Amino acid sequence: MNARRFLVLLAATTAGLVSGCRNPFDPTADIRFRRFYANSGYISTINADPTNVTNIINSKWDGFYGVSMEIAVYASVPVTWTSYTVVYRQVAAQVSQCGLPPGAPICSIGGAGGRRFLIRRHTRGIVTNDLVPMTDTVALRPFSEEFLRYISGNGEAVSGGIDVDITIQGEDHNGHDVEVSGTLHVEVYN
Amino acid sequence: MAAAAGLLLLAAGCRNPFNPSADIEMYELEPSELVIQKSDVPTTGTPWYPTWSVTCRFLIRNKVGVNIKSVNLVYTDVAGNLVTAYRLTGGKNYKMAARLTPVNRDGDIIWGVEAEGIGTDLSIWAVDRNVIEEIVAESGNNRVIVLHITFRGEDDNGYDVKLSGEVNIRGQGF
Repeated sequence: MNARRFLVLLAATTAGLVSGCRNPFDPTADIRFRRFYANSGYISTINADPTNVTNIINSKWDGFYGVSMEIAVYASVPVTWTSYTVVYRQVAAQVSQCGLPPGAPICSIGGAGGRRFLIRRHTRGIVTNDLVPMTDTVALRPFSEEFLRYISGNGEAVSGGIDVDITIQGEDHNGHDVEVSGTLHVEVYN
Repeated sequence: MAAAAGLLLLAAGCRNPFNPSADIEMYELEPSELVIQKSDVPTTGTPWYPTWSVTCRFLIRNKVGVNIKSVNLVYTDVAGNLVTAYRLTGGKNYKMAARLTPVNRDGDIIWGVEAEGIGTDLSIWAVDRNVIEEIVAESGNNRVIVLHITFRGEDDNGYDVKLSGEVNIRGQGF
């Protein structure tokens, strides 16, 4: 092997190592979380009065208490979302439940693992130069019946409200795992 | 020349480039989560089952169409254990015949947006009496069934096609 070939091979090997041996023709989706939309703009507000919560549970509340997650796509690789995980963190201490400090995951709603909801939703990649980034809004339902009953039965949730960490998971069309996450604040009042 | 052809064949995995399989995916399940509301379940008589229909959206990105021949619905709990009366039968199986349209020109708009391919919607009724009974029988405020949907068929070049996805079915107000 002459010196020139050796240098080319060395450069190629170095490039491969630096890029983590990833195929440049098989890129991952470039997805970023933008914002949540809830019933009060970028946060959610829920009246935790038991009568009101019962009314919410017994009514079709998909629209008003649903949450939309806006994401931006900066590559031409689409993504199929297959699930989202919700971790409910109470701003105030959980004295009566399990003695956890402020900001800890609510132990009776899945704890640190939260709750996982299965979906199937597609987010397009960029298909035209006129729309960069491509944006998509994914409709989610993080406020389950057990969450609503928790806030109506625990006065601690009213003081400071609850932060909801939402992570949406999927796979892009080149087979890479993809996830984006954000935190939504839920103002709980009586 | 022969070496180049051989390398090309190896790289392509011995597949005939003139006989491709359909480039297809299950694009979306809509709604993404089904809710069985107590008020939608009458104490007597038959519920209106189309309330819980799921629209399955497929997308094909090449010119190879697909014929769907069957759909399988499996119900599990969140831990993956089979539930409902269908746990003994491997879920519900239906024979069907549906055509998923391939691409035939550029610039198509589907579902109101510039498309990556051509889409076709199929609707299924996801809930029946057995599913409702399972939701009612679960205790607590976290009544959830996971529905696994699998479509099987064959594309126009003879390749088997299998497409699957999952959604949650939640009980509410029981």
